[in-house]
Amino acid sequence: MKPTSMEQIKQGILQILGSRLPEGEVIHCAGNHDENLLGNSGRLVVYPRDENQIGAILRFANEHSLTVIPEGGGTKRGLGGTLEQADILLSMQKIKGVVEHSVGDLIMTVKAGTTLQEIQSVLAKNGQFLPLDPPFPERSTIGGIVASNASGPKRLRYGSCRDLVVGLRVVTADGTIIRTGAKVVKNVAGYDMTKLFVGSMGTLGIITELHLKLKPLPPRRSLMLLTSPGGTEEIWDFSRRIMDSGMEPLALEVLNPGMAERLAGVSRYLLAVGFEDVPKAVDAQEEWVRQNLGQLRKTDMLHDEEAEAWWNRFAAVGTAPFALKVGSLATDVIPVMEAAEQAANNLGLSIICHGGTGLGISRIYVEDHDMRKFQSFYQTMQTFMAEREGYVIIESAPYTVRRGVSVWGDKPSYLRLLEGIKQKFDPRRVLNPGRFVGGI
Amino acid sequence: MFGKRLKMAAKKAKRKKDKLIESLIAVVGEDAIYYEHEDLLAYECDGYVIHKGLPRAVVFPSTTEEVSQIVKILHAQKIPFIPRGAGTGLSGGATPMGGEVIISLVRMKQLLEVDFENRRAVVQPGFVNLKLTNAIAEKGYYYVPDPSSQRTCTIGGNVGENAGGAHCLKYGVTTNHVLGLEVVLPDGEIVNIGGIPDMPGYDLLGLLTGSEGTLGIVTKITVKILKQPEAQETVCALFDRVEDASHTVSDIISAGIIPAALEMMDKIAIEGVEKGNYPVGYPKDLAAVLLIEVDGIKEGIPEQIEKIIQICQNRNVREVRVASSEAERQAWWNNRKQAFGAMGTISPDYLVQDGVIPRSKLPEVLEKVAQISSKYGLRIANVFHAGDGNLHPLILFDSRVPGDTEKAVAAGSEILKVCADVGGSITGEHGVGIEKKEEMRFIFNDEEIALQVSIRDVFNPENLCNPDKLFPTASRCAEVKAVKRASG
Ligand SMILES: Cc1cc2nc3c(=O)[nH]c(=O)nc-3n(C[C@H](O)[C@H](O)[C@H](O)COP(=O)(O)OP(=O)(O)OC[C@H]3O[C@@H](n4cnc5c(N)ncnc54)[C@H](O)[C@@H]3O)c2cc1C
Repeated sequence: MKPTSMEQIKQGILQILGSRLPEGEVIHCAGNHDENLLGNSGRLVVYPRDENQIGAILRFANEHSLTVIPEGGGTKRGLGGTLEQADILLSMQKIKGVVEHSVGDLIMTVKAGTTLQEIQSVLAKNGQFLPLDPPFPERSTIGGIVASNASGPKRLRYGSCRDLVVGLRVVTADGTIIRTGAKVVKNVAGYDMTKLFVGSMGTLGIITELHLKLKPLPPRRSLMLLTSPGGTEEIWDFSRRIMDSGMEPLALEVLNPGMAERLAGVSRYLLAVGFEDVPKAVDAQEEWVRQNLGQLRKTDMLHDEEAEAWWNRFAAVGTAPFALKVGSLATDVIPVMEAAEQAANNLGLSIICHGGTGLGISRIYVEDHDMRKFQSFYQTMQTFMAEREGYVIIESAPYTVRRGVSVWGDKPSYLRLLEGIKQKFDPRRVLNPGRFVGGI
Repeated sequence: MFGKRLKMAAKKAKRKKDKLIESLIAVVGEDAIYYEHEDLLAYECDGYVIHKGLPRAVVFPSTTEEVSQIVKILHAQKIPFIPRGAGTGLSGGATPMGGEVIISLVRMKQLLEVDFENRRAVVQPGFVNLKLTNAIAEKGYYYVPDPSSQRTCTIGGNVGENAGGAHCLKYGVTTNHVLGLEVVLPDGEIVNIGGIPDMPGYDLLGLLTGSEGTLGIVTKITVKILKQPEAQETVCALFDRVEDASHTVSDIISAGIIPAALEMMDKIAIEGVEKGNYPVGYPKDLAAVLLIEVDGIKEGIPEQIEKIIQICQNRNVREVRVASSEAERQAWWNNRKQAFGAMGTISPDYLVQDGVIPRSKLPEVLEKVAQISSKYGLRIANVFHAGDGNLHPLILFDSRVPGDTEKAVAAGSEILKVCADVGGSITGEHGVGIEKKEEMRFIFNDEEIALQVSIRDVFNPENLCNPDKLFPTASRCAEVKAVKRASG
């Protein structure tokens, strides 16, 4: 039975959590501008302090068929979902902190609401880091990063969330606490349930704790910014050659002229090539680049903190509420970027975009706030990718736009399997209903 | 004599009339099926020989379409079936419980495509692991996961078990290298999953990899291929005390070095490999050997090697040496990779275990393994991927001695309990299969197991595809599940 008024829901939650939850922890959602635009907010915002409280809230929601949106830093509000407001927005912001850092094992256990920046600063004290570079590390929580499978250019060398998360604690929709994986780097006991949660957009359960693989901090970091006076061909040619050499680039990220202008002050296609290793290995790779530049020009070279600062600016570039992500073959990355540029030109839109020529992932941010044109742009990119292997999804858009289109692209032929999995975890569709592929 | 032959002929004739066999022959042809008792005996078990069961038939499809048709026939008649690769699995994953039809993928063994620009290759499931690296080595590429069985095991089987290998420490195991799968689901439907990174939807690739053939039959695999590292150096370090070798492992990792491989063998293991086909002349009185391989950019390697040698010396190494040639390096690796088989030279039987522990717990756990060895009066050789904490205690026994097999099994289970209790796992790469079903309870509670079973039900609701593997005997879990659903 669904309690109708927000007051009833609030009373219900306060009652379950009893004195453990001070009144102030449940906040009525007034709705600021961002929330009104992007949706995925809640009639009520709740800040549980531990997984037992989460369990109790979910049990209550499950019993009363309420909808719950779990949220970390809120940086992915524009991704998926057709709800303006769920009944409850369950914020993970009070569930934070490093539970354990086992330095000799290169493993950490951390609570889901901890921001990536907080994690990195704890790890740095022991000369280690978590090799993830998603957007907005100061706001993004590790739970949110993993649930949305966020990533950045450095995954070329370090892998993405699915390669780094070795275990989880999760509260499922009926309030049960389950564990997946273990605090070890190799494990094939039973199904790899951890993988199901990576990128599941909070539709299967609420991740409360994560076991993560770490890396030693590289003694030397370097970043070379290369531009092409000719065109993109030379950039592809260089990418191909470096991938075919014994070099080990950290990232090979192409920026369109708009983005290069902003981050490097040159309005041309630009290739960012990074290296992280012991100093001699970095020097040798820089030398390889100099020897193999071909027609490319080196416009800048940064080291250590400066290189990191540049990547941090890179990670903060995607503020536009209108964004696409394209997955393609590596060989199609530059064609994707050029097609995007062309489509934007035709529609009179201005975009910034970047794509990994070693990875096959591109991101396009449309800077104009024109819903109609954005939809046409999305369609054009879908048509472009329809002839190629891969996909286009809307990574961010106002919820009114999301209501009218399928943000995750075409339904996969095996949708019944995805629906079946959802059904097992959350039969009453409490968690993030409609947020994911095929309306899951 | 005459009478017996007649009887056999009659039996054959009777067999031929078996409707199921007829319908399978209609799909794959006469020369792609075994159904006579004597032919089936070779399929009674995989590399885990303690449990045996007879299949009803073994079919050898050549195409995905044939696999799908076979599965549809079996599904319609509710006859259970098992996908099988080379049968080198070490936990009984491809072993019949009795009466299943084995679908062997060994005739689907083609390399379908290599795309160097996109760094990927497409293979059929029966394609043998090492053949992939051999096929692309000329251009300087390789396929990372390198189980010691790589000369015979199939990539389909590797996906089934999420196989690892010596070189998975730095570069990851099978799941980190699978990009896409074509799968025949347990009802015969053919689906394509993945192909491009981050395909929208739950990570079915990750779920299917390591599912031990219980979610469907993999009929095509797209894998990552990597450029060979520019350079590599291998260090061999000989120790007089196991503790020193164990501490060296943690010290190397703590020093910020991630070797490409970091392997260890103890005294009994060394005794075995030195009697095997690839001896390298390790001194008889050694307590432990470490093989440490570093790879990457040429210029970066010497200082890492120096550091490693320094760490070994700090830990009282008897002798430490860098391979002087590729031949010497290969000799060390051949010696290491034949370790399981070589146990046959020092014991009539051996049981391979596969626990995982946080690497920092190595000294403590090895001590406990030694205690278990003396408790059961069985010698235990330790060969393992020390860098990622993946132990392979090889429990030596003699199945002709009554009670010895049971003791070996019990000792193995006790070792896994030790691994679980230090926060590790009961299997790092060999899978649960038949062998470790009950040990699943060491690391998962009933609800966690029930949830996994419910995921199996999404793909394999009638439990026809590799039935009764992986999970502890159903009753208790099923009850919990029923109660949970009723109350929830
Ligand atoms: C001497 C020796 C050394 C070994 N060393 C290692 C090692 O270093 N690392 C390691 O990880 N393993 C090792 N193993 C174990 C074994 O080789 C691996 O598990 C291997 O991946 C099994 O491959 P296979 O082709 O023999 O598969 P099989 O044994 O035939 O099958 C394994 C499992 O996968 C399933 N399966 C097979 N094919 C398919 C398919 N096409 N679709 C779906 N499911 C399928 C089967 O049902 C079964 O559950 C070793 C084994 C031996 C005998």
